[in-house]
Amino acid sequence: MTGDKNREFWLSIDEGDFVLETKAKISLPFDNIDKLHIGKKYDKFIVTEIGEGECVGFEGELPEEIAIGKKHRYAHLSEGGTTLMTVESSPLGITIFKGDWIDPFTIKRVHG
Amino acid sequence: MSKKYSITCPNCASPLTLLGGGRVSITTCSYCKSVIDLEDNYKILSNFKNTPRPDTPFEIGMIGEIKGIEYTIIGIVQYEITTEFDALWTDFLLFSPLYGYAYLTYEKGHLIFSRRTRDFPALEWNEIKQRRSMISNSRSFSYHGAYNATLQYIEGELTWIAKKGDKTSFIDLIAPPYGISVENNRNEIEYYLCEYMSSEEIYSSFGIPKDNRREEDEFNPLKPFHKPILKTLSRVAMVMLLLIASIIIGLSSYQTGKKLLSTQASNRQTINQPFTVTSNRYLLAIEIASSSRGDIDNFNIKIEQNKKNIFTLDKYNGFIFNHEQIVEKKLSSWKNNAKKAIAYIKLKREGEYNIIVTPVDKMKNSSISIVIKEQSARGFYFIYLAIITIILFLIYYLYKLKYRQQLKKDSDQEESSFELDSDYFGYAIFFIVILFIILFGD
Repeated sequence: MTGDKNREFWLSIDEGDFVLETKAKISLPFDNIDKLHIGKKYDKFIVTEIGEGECVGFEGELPEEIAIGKKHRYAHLSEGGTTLMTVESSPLGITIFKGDWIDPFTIKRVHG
Repeated sequence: MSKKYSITCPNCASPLTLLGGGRVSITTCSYCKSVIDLEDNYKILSNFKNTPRPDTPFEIGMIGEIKGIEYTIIGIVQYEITTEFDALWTDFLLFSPLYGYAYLTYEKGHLIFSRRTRDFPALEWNEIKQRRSMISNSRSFSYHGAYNATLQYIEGELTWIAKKGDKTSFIDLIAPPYGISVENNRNEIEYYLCEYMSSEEIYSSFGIPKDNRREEDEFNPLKPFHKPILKTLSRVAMVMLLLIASIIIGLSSYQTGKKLLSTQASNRQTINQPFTVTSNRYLLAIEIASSSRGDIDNFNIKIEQNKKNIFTLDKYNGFIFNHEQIVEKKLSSWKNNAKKAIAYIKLKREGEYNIIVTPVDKMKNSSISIVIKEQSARGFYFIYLAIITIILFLIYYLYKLKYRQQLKKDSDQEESSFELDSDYFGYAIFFIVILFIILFGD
């Protein structure tokens, strides 16, 4: 999704909950997500999930090259409240996305 | 209603219907009980054929409404606490095409609805346990307990790959009827917002026949303390206590009586003193006091009008007479060795009266003072009413205290971390003040 000033956003759905994230430049207190532990706090971030994602399909315009079957490691961290920070690890390095969980029923149509 | 998909069991070729939407990872064959991996070419992962099914009234495919949302039961998981015998509960995975997944937990007849929440503090596992409370979803939850459980049984569809013996750690926090269940399954920490449900409503909604419905058994920490009739009685009693206290204050302030006579009597001689009653409103009070214990035992007191007995009192009995000099009422006397006694009598008419005080043993050195007051009122009868009212007031709080003790017993929270409920503190102060007024106000 693109927002104001062509800013890149990702709207993800996880078990019926929505999360809106955008790329963030944050200095992380770790450099390898495989060394993280579930439930452990790193600075102010608590690790809630570690896993591996695989691309099983895509459509439309995307900001990066992607391929079916492409895998990447990810970690979910929280600063508390409804915050979410997703750290994705690929051979190219670490990408950080930050945002908040949102109640899907509060999403309103703006145009159209 | 959710969309249905069909597959064939790779083990027994039975037709299977999938109800649970896109996040479903596994399903079990309802015939041969094989667990089928839906994400990996229908691979058979395990089999639950020899595992007994949990004894619950709910079945896969049942549809019911919870909190206004229609859910279908798509999966069943049974857990057992590792450190307790027979501590089993069953989670029913619910699916709504619009609202996603939720759980209905069945534990000894109690039903709890839970949905995953993304609103929680950034706390490590031990920090949650050490903290006495935690804020989530704008509510403060108290720590209740932590335990480990193993998966015993699965049936239907689940959104994760589950197998028998899987271990999960749980932390329960409560704010009845709400709760937070924190679950750590080694890959993920999940927070669930739980709510205790009325089992009758859920049974009705899912169409469970009355014969299959289970009674709630044992204590459940999420079941809120609910005694509406006793609570109302307690509130009424509180108002009544205030009213009684006000009446007693009023009586002691305005109806202390008008002094008619103040005299002394000793063992040396009988005294006979006249006094005039100007009003027979309320009661005539005869206050007798001595400086030494037992002195008043040595005197007989008599009230006369026109040489006719109206009232007599000695250490054994008191008598009230009618105009025919027949005993109208027998009264009990003061306690042995008392230093003070008050007798109240209701005079039928105003006029001249005499008090005659006669020593019983003229050789026993003793003296008393006597004060006679008219228009005296006594709040004594209100004390009986106050006692009944206090009992009514306390019943609700005694039940609440019992509930809190059960909650404490059920919790693994340290005793010292339980605070005195502010309600109890406020009511204790109220109760002490009212009791003080009732006992000493008259």
